[in-house]
Amino acid sequence: MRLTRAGLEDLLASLAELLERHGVALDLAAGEELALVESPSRSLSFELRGLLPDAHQPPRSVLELREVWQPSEAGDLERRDYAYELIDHERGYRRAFHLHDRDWFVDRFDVVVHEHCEQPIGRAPCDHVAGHPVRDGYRAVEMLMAIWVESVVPDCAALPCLEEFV
Amino acid sequence: MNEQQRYLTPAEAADALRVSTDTVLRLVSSGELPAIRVSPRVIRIPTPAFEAFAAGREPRRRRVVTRRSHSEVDLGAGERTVEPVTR
Repeated sequence: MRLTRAGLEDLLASLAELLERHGVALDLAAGEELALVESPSRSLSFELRGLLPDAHQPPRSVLELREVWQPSEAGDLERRDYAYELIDHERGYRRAFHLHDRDWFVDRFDVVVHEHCEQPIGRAPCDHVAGHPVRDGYRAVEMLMAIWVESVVPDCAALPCLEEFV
Repeated sequence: MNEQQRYLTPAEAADALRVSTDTVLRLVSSGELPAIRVSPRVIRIPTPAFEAFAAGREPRRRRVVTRRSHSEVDLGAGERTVEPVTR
């Protein structure tokens, strides 16, 4: 996935808008700016975090999107890492879709991406679950919201554990 | 504390908005009302999304600024406590 810098700014603003349309209360004041953080290696990253309304006040379900983009040889930006997370404190589980430490995961498990599933939170039957790449942040919002609206909690033990294939 | 229902069907949303189900499906199709397509025939409208729509809460597009950091972002940092990474 590749974007220009303006395209990345547009993506970030659009994702924030999409989350707010879904009723997610972002960790931002009304009208507060969104930040792209530029590192010494010129990679750009963002973090969007917010609460989903549940029966608790304040709400306790957390949805988080984090991405890291690095300059490509072609002069644009490519998504290098991502971490898309849902921590549902009301129902007591965590689901996450990750891409990071690509070389290590390829060496160790022969995969690029992995997932996490904890139920209850903090207890996982498996440290790293096999998964599929998430196309983009929009798809991540769809996937996490689809999990959140389900009336049953994820069955973490039923997911394919990467450690079992080593 | 009782859990709130987390989604509405298009028919339930139509009932609450006092419009037809077709109107709700049009709103979903246009993206005005966010929804989850569980299968080609099953659509769920997350309750918070419905409430935001019904209340007329229209998110304002936020400005994006760039901030400099002195360190690199490491999304896998927390995981390495479980299993140290050796490269």
